[in-house]
Amino acid sequence: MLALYFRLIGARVRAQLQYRASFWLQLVSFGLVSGLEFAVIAILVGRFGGVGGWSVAETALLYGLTSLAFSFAEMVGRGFDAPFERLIQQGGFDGVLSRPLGSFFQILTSDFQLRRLGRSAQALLVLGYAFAQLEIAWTPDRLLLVPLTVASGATIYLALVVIGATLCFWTVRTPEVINVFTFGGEQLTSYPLSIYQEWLRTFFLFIVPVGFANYPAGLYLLGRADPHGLPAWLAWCAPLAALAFLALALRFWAFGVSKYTSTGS
Amino acid sequence: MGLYLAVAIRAFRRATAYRAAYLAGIITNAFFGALVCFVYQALYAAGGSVAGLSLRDAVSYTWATQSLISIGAGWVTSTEISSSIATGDVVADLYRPWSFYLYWLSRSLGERTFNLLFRGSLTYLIGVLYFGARVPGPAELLAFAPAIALAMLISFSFSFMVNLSAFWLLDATGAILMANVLLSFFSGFLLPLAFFPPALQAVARALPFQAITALPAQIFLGQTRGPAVAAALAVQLFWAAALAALALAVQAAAMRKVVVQGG
Amino acid sequence: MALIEVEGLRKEFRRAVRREGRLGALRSLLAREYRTVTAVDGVSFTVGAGEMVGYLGPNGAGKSTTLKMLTGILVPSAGRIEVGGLVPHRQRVEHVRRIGVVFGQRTQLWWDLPTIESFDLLRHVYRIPPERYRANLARYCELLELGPFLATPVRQLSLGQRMRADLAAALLHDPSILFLDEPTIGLDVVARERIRSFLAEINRERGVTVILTTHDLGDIARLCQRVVLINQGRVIYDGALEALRARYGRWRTLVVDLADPEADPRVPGTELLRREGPRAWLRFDRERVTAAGLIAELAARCPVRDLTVEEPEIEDVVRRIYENGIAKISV
Repeated sequence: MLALYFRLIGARVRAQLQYRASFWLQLVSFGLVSGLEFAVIAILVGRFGGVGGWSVAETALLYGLTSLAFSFAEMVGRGFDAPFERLIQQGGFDGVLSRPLGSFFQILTSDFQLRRLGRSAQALLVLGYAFAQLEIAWTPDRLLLVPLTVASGATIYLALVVIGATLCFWTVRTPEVINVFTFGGEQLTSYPLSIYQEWLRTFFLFIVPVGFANYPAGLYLLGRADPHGLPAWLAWCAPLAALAFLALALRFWAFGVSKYTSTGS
Repeated sequence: MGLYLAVAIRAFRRATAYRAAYLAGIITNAFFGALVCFVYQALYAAGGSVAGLSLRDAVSYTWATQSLISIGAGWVTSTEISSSIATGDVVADLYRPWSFYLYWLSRSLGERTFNLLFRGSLTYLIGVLYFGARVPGPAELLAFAPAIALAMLISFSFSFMVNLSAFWLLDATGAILMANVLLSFFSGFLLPLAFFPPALQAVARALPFQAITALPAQIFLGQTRGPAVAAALAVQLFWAAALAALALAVQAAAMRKVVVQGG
Repeated sequence: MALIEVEGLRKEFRRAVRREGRLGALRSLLAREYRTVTAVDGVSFTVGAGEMVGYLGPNGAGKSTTLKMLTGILVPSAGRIEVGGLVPHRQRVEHVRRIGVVFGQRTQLWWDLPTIESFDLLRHVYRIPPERYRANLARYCELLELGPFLATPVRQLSLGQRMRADLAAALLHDPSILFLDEPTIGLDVVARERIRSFLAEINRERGVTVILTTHDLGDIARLCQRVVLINQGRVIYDGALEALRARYGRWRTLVVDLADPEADPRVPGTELLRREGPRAWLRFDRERVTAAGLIAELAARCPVRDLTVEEPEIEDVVRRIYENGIAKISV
């Protein structure tokens, strides 16, 4: 199955690389667009001398983690965005169901976008800056936490895109509202979660767990305590939150497919 | 002139039909506006004002700019022209007995006037009701009217030129992306100009983008008042004329290209 | 046991009723009103291995819906459906692995990849052994003349080329059944004939069971010994095509070349359809008059140079069945 996945995305990537100039232009553009995101944060936090007790470098750590996770989700999950909306509108989903592969797998492999690495590069630069500025005691558990958290974050963002796509089965167009959770989630988590009101913090940690993309891990890496009493070990729950949320998204997807097969389009 | 008015009115009417879409749009804009305000509340925890802006100023400014998104304040949102270039439909438009530029300008103004009156005002209302955004007085509104009209004009000319790049580049998305980077930052949409580091502030003041978002928003909120208002309007007028001239020049170049190369 | 068994198949759709006017839009938001559309209404038939069956009906008759249920894309509202011992919508992946599907209006191939790369991907998706894949590919390239455009991206293919590529793609994995939904739609005469002869060939050579939906009678006439006629979700005829023509075609056309171009050939019991100089087309009801009797009478009236009797057009037969229902056409 994994071999087939790589074969399918390999075909897509090869097709995209045919337009070399356009590819590099877009990759650089994505890097700049996301770079702008961080520039705004850095300027703002710098002007005010910190936010919620977090310095610019500390905020950079948070931003880097969530942006990196977001970039991987964008790279992998784009098939669930505009291409899927078009597929449903043009009746192409029947074709998906005619192949001996799971529908989720097929949509997942339908638009792998290597050019989203532009954002990944930018996020890595920001993280690099943060690590250089901050004095993190790099113990083995902390070293493990970083990739674990990024992978969890990417999974959560991916799950959100899948949920947005599933809504297409009913509404035909992906509702703009899902952007509130994907882009909104990324923007929200760019700052320490502790600055927000309780209902917002609870929502974005325990209902739509985007907060797990960076906040608990950030606390753990810096050896800080959360002003509202979140335990330090919560950082290790990120993979759990990610898998649970993904499972939810997949259930919802399966439900959407069953609705499609019983009502057509 | 009557023709363009008719086009504008028709565009206005069309915008009224997409009820569900703009309701969803208001909710989305409001969410992001709220998010930015929460961050400001944390930033201003120590109170006072920074760079001449108090928390209330920053919050009001945020809601004002969020409300202006649908008028073109933050991004180039309309890709209709570049799409018609990609499909080749545009060629028909270019040979019609009207000004291509004025036609699209009328359409844009019609649609954006609707957005301003309904989408924008409702979004700002949420800011007033739940976040204490400042309600402008009659003097501010009086000055705001020409300011926003000029802003829409400048915004359109810019969007027009960016879309026309599709005549040269096959795919305008790269150009639009880059344009949005410039526009969203230097217009003061992402960040009030007062917060910019001095070097960047100087750059922003030299560019037309501030005339699209920052200037009208500041006038609306009374952050720019008295004689400064006249100065701001003069800057806007300058850029409106300059960009319109530039847009027409780009259009002429595009027409030449079409004639010579057949699109 | 037959390869395909369908019994009492029903499919209902709930469609929202749109209301007019401004108030209507508001009311729709608050309380949706639905009406039930029955696309398939108690369809039953069986298909044995190696058969070539045409599923014929006007637009909206329920052909595509039935096909979608057979391929597992739609779940039936009621009834029993079994293909090769599997229930399509319940064991979708397993079922789909054994069948080939071609949609006339949409492609199964990857849009921006060259045709041959699409085939190669399918080889992995269906896990086709390399030897079998190579042999099949060679055979289909030969039969369908795919060579010239194997390297072309699918989006640049003409409709006819794409159709041929889709056919090959659907058969690469040696399915036992091939389902086709309007395969010749939009194609020119030459392309259509190519597709038809290909289908006839693979049915003959490999015993692939073929089910094809169409509203083109030419497809049916050329390919299918058996035709299932469907209208308004119900089967109104299931049997051999010839029997349909013979049983339900009352009208024959007598084409005469008269010695005298001015002569009037209208004998009682005939209707003059057309006249072109010495040639006349006369329609008669064979229930009422026999061809022989008619010819005798005609010859007595005006000398005949040459004549033929034309079989009824299938179009006419089918059209009248749709319009009047089978019962009304007298046997």
